[in-house]
This record gives sequence, C-alpha cells and structure tokens, in this order.
Amino acid sequence: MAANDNVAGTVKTVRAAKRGSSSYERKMSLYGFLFALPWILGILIFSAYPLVMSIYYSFTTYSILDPGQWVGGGNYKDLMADGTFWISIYNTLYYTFISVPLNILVGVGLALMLNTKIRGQGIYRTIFFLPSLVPAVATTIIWLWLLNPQFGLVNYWLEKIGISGPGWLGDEHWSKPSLILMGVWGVGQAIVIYLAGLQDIPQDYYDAAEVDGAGTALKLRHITLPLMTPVIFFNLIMGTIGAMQNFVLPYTLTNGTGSPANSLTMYVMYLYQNAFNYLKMGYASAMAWILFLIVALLTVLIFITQKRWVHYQGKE
Amino acid sequence: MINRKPFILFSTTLLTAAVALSGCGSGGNSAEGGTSDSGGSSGKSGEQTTTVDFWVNWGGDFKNDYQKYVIDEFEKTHPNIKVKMTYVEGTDKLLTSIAGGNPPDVAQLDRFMVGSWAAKGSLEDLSPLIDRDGINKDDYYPGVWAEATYNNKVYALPWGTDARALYYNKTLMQKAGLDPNKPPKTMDELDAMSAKMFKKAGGGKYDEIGFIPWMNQGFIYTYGWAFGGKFEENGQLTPNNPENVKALEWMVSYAKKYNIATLSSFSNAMGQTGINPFWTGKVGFIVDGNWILNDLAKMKPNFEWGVTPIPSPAGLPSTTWSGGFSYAIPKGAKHKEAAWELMKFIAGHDGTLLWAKRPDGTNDITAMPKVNEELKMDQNPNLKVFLDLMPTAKFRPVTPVGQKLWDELARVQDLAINGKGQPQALLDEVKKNVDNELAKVSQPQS
Amino acid sequence: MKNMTAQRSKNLVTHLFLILFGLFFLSPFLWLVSTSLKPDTELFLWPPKWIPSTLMWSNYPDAIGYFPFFTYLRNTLGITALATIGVLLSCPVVAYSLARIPWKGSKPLFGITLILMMLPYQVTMIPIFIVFKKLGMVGTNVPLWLPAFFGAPFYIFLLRQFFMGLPRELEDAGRIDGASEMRIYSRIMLPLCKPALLTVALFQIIGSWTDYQGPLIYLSDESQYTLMLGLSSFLTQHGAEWQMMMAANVMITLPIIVLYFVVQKAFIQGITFSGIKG
Repeated sequence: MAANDNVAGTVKTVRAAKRGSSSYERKMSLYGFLFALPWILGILIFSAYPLVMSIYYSFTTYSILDPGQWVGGGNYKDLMADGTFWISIYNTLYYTFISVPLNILVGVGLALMLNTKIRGQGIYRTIFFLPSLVPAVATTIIWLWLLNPQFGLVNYWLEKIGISGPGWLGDEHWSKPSLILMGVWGVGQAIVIYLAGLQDIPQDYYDAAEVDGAGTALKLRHITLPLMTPVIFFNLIMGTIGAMQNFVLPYTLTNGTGSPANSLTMYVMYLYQNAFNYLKMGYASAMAWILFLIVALLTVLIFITQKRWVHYQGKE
Repeated sequence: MINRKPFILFSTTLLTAAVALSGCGSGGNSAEGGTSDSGGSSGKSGEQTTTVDFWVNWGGDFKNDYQKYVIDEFEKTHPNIKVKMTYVEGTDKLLTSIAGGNPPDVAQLDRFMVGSWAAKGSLEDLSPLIDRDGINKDDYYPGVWAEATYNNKVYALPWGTDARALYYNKTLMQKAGLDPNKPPKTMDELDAMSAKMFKKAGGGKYDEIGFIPWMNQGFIYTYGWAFGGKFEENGQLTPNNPENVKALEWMVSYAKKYNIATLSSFSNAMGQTGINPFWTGKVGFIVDGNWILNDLAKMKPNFEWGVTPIPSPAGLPSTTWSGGFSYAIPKGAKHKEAAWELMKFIAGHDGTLLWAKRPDGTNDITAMPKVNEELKMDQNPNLKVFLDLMPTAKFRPVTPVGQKLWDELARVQDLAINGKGQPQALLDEVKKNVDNELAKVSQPQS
Repeated sequence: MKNMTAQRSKNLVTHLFLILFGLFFLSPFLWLVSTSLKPDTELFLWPPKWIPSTLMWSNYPDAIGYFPFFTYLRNTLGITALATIGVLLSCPVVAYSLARIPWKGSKPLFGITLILMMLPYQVTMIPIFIVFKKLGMVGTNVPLWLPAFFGAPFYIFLLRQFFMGLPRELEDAGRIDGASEMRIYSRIMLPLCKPALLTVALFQIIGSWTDYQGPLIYLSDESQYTLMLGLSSFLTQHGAEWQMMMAANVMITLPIIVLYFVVQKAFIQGITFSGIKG
C-alpha cells in the first residue's frame, strides 16, 4: 500500500499539472462527449419528443383517442381537489418510506450471507432470485393463498405459535404491511447488484486487515460496508423511484380497485386508470409530472446526504 | 423495476373482464373490395382481394375455433375478402394504434366501452351503412342494441351477451335444514336462509358461508336494479337513486352482521385467485353469470347445485343485467367497406349462429333472440333461467363516463362495507364525481 | 479446534437462516410447478393442494401445442440477444464518460438520465409509439431492441456507480503512460467491471425475455409474436386455462433460472479477478 501511496502522490501532481492545461480539458471534453454520444443520440431520438409531449399533454384534455383542448393548469387544479389523488399519494409515500429501507436492510444482509463460502451457495443465490422471475399472476395468486386469513399458511404457522393472525390483505390496517412484505420478496434483483458490488472489493484489503488481526465484524464495518456504499446508494435511488412507481402487484392483487377501503390505491395505479380506462391522458400526464416533482425532491435530498456516507474510491 | 412484469395486463383483463382488443395494422395491399353481392363475378381475373385486419380479444382455442367455424365460412362466401385475424389482449394496443393512425379494420370491443369511445370520435358511425343495407335492430335484444348506440348513432354491431342469476348449493341447504328445491325468491328469504348456513370454525372464522352479497357478480348495479333502482333517468346519471341507496344499505347490513374482516377472508382473497368460491362447496348462495355453467359442467363439483333468478324485495320482479361484446370499425381503418361486410356476417344471423352452435358453445347467450330460439337453448333448464330474464335485462348506462361510474361504484361499495361512510353520502359523492367528469367531456370538441 | 467448531456452528446458523428464508422465496415457483401439473378439476380446491393427486405431465405438451411455441421462442431469443448486445455495447461507454471523464456535460447528462427514470412509463408510452411510427418501425421488432444500442438509463446509472467505486489511480496511470481514453476504458476499466457487466446482461435478458407491453404494442403479425404474448393466449373470455398457462410459464422461466445459476458461478470466479485490483 505504501508503494501505492507513492504512485498516488506522483499521479496527483501530474494530474494537477494536466488539469491546468486547457488542451487537457478540451481533450477530456471531446472524449466525454464522444463516449456519451450514443446516449445523447438516444435521448434526442427516443426520449426528447415523449418528454415534451407529456408536458404538453398535461395542459390539455388529450384522451389518446382525440387531441382534446388546451386547459392550461386545469388538470393540476382538478388534481388538487381529487380525493383519490391524495389518498394515492399517502399510500405511495407510506409504502416507499417503509419498504425502501427495509429492502436495503434485507438485501444487504442476504447478499452478505450469500457471499460467504457456504455450501450450496449457487443454489441459495438462485432461490433468492426466483421471485423476480416468476410472472406477476403466479406471484399474486400465491400471495393471496399464503396470506389468506382462513386457510393461508402464514396464519396457520402463526396459530401454531399461539398467535391469531390478522386479516392481511383483507384488512385495511394490514394491507399495506402485506404489500411491503411482498416487496421484500422481490429483493432478489437488488441482491444481484449487491453481490456484484461485493465482488468488486479488492481481496488485498481483507488480507491486509487480517494481518492486522481484524475480525469479521471489523472487516464488515471498515471495509465491506464503506466500499458497498456506491451500490447501496444506487439501490436507494432506484428503490425510491421504483417504490413510488409501484404498480403491478397492487394492481393485480386488488384487480385495480385498491381495496380494502382504498388502502392499496397506489399512485401509478390511479394514473394508469385515468390514462387507459377513463381516457384522460392529459390528467394522467399531469399526475406523472407531479410524481416526477415528488421523486425528484426525494432524490435531491438523497444526493445531498451522499457526501456524508457514500464512499467513492475514485473521488479525490 | 427493469423487469417489467409481463402479466400486468393479463390479469387486468382477466379480472376485470372488460376489454377490447388490438393488434397492429397490416399493410393492406389492395383497393377497397367489392361487396358480398359480387360473389358471382369474383372469378373474373383482375378482381382484387381485400385483406381485412381483424383484432380479437382471445388467442388460443378461441381464435382457432372462430377461424374454423366462422371466418372460414365467411371467406368461402366472400372470395374477394381475406380476413387476417390477430389476437391482441387488452385495450392498450387498440388505443395506441388509433393514436398512431394505424388501427385494424374491425375490432372486438366490450360493448360497455362503445359509448365512451364513440364520444371521443374514435369509432366509425355505422348508421348510414345500417340504413343502406337494411340491418334490422329488432333482430337483437333492445338493450344490447342500445349499448352499441350513442347519441342516436350506431357505432358497433352487438355480439354475444350474458346474464346473472343466483346459484345455490343444495347440499348446504339440506345440511342447514332447508328444502333444497325451494331457493329464495325474495331478499328476506335469502337473508333468512343464508343466516342458517353460516358456520364458524375455530378462531371465530367462518368455515361455511351462507351468502356474501359482494362476491363474484354482486355489485351495486346488481342489487340496485334488484331493489327497483335506476342508474339513469331522463338523460341524467342517477347512482344515488333512493333504491340504489337501499341496496347498498342492504349490502352493508351483511358486513355489519357477519363482521367484514371475517367475511373478507372469504370474498376478497378467494375471488382474486381465480378460484370461484362457489366451487369450494362452502358457499350457500352466490350471484354469478351464465358462463359459469360451462365451468360447473367441467368441474363436476361434489355437491348438488341449482340456479334461480336473483331474489328481489317482496313485490318486485326478478331482474338481471347483461354485458357482452361487439364489433366496431375504428376511425382511420383502411378498408371500411370490406370491414363492414365482415361485420355484417359475423355479427349477423349467419355468423352468430355458426359460432353459437359450435360443439362447446352450449351455455353462451347470443345477442339475437332468434338464434337462441333456433338453437333451442331454452331446453337447457339451467340456461333457461338466464334466457327468461333476457327480455327485461338491464344494461349499464351508455355514457362517456361508463368506466368511471363503474369504478366509482366499486370504490364506494368497498368503502361502505368497510364502514367508511354512509351509503347515501357515498352514492351522492359518486353522483357528484361522474357529473363533474361528464361536464368536462360534454364540452364541445374542437 | 475450537475455532473450527465456532466456524461450523456459524455456518449452521447461516444455513438455517438461508433455508428458512429460501423456502419463503421458493414458494411462488413451487406453486407454479405444482399448478402446472394439476388436472383441471384440482385447480380450485380449497384449501389449496400443493401436490396434485395425479401428475398431469400432459399439460406441458398441451401448452406447447396451444400456440406456436417454438416460433415465439425463436422470436424472443432474437430480440433478447440483440437487446443484450445493445446495452453491453452502449451503456458501459456512457457510464464511463459520466463517472470517470472530467467534462462539463457529465453532470447535466446524469441528471437527465435520472429524470428519464422518474417519469412513469405509462405516460410516455403513446408518444414513444408515435416516434416509432414516424420512423416506420411499427409492426417490426426493431423498437424492441434498437433503443438498447443507444443506452438505457438504469444500466448507465448502475455502471456509473461501479466506475465511481474504482480507484482513480488506475486510469491516471494509464493517462500518464499516454494511453488513449479508449484504451484505458477497454483495457483497464471494463475488465474490472465484469460482475457489473454480467449483472447488466442478466437484467437485460430477463427484461427482454419477460417484456409484455413492448411486443404487445409494436408487433402486428402473429408470426412475430413473443413467448409472453403467447402466454396471454391462455386467457379466455371468462377465465383462463390455468394449468397450461402455468406449464408454459415453467418452461419459459426455466432457461432464465439455469442461466442465472451459471452466471452466478461466474460471479464467484470474479473474486479471483478482483484480486488484481487495489
């Protein structure tokens, strides 16, 4: 490591020297642009028009079937007076604030366990990934069965240990926790990303720590977790965006009704209904941009905290 | 989140049952075809064939059978028209294709949606063609025809219909000391009989259920009509009609009497798993459609059952309500004339008959009373229960906000049975919400 | 000796924990398999039966015969392969630019990348369709894979995080040696990201394989349909051919499960690669 520090010192000097020269900056600008070019083109060709159009729609009564009329802020004003809209915001934020941290906790925990040199590692890893592959219809039905208050396995087990289980999805107080529980089931994708992140941690760090006599806990705290932060950060952002857009499970579970008593009416579910069932694409577009503002706000907040806890090796 | 679960739409459709279809435009390659009358001249060289792009809602067996029993016959009698049938699930694709300007020539559309789609100007007005070719609306049930009509113009040809009735479990009735051959005729009888059938298991949960009003096809619509209510009067939507309120109050009485949380374990969880609770043999009475007869024949449940009209309060006649599909020409279709030829056939007498008399179509009700008679459907005693209700069957209001009204009613029904609000106030809210929507839709189109 | 015992009991606890959780995670798949082997009279038993009284293996050939399974399989394979190649070519380059090349555009471009993910797909679906309509690609499978060659925000962000986590010394050393950026990227940085690239490939394969909405909207000829569209053909007017649908699901899911099993082995090999780092 000492040698490394030396090199790093030299590099820093060189870098500082190079930084100063405008030809270096020009060169880097050109490279940066060229490397990013496919994406820039992709945005211009495939995304720019849809983005602009969805803003435009949000000010009209576009119905998909007809162009509708310009209504200015009418859709936004109507939304403020729409009770279901507010219920869906509440439900969605509730879901997001609990499920995202929970999924990170479970995901990192399982990933760490799956990363140990344990027998049957490959099989375990595959099993934890399975729910992400099973189609939503099957997932939905199995959950309705598992959580059935009457015959479901979950309550059956609870009864065995003397607990009278709740009504789960049929009970408005337990429906959101049930949905959050199901979210944990889908944590397999995040686990894959954590595992990839764990592979990226150089073995010499651990070797060096072991020489210093560090135990498992210490290694976890001082090496593994800090070096995992970029990936945790990624899952935090994506988890938040994903949770705010949660759609498939609540939609299939409740058949689009959000029952019981509106407790599972999620934001994008209501947006989808407006767009494709009520043919109110303008209204739905306005909902999309409000959702965007909420998610953007949350993301900015997460980015602000980034400096305190995310450890990028590449940063100076 | 990347793994966009593919099944969203499957289950949506599956569970909501209301959908229309879509596929993608074929590059039609020829000029407008002639009419069916040109059959004799079709042998002439130089006559061009038109390919009609036809989207249906179901693939698999449905599509194969429909091709075999109906479309092949059509092509035989109309040699200058070729039909390219494509199955497309859900309305999303049809909507997208209309927005993109390349819709199919004929699409199968839930009749329930014709009103709102027509209001957006996205379906061809068929009235001139109907007048020209002398299509007789009296060949169809009046309500079925009305569902395809918006603002006095016809936008679709009806195809198929259905009805709802009360299925009862004779075995359970017997167990409860009831005469299994005397199903309830009035709401009071239903309440009293079902009360005897609820049986609690351990933990305060029900092992057997007499009746849960909101299971399967039990909606505010179902009971509003049974109580003599109306959902449309003098051109106004009337979800808060006093009889509808009474119906909802009656539904709520079950939630109160039998404890909603315990009932939900049956109704909520089972209904959505694709399991029909009635098949479990643990449910005394259930409101469901005639299509269940097909499944009951296949499943061979280990209990005796029967079917009877939905009870109504004493003194009121039995009611049912109907839905079904239709065929429409989306705006922007490229082969209107040939599309119309196809529609006239498949939704007309010949096509309807060809389809209805297929080997496993025994429990379907067609939109044409005459075809139902020809097939002697009323000789099937179970189906007869439904058929006899057809002449007075109710239909959901034809309105641009039909789907919204449906969803709003479902929403307040759920709130009411969960004790969140009073039926009167909730239905007033529905009235307010749909009227608001209607006011926006009714603004003159640019 | 004492250490060994401690290690062993620790392993035992881990195993117990994983098995318990594993059963929970495995249950949907077990149910899928169980339903796929049921006779249709046993689909609706209540309480549900996990093991059918007779194993209906015939559901599998029946399901294959229900729609042109092998044609749809070939179509799905083609789209999946192209899309996966696409993201592997485009996303790492872009992510590298955003993470490691000091240039003014990187921050705003990263911001736009995030914005694109924050808008729900439901509202951009129609305008995107119109773009492809104008490009004349509706009715072909091109919209299902071409965009992959121009980057995908999720993967770009993911790979950016990985590049950000690599030590800076690596490319600086290369730059001092006068290596071109392309060379630094392809010879130094890219090989270090193997696990991340595998992850991206895996996700894209699953994404394309299980995509429903895309094929639904863009394909217009049934000869071009994909497996997911085939699955929807088990839906009937008032229900579904459940047992066949689930059998088809098992067959469609199985290759991905096997693929994942193989890929995660490559992950383990990744450990040896990462030894070079630091």
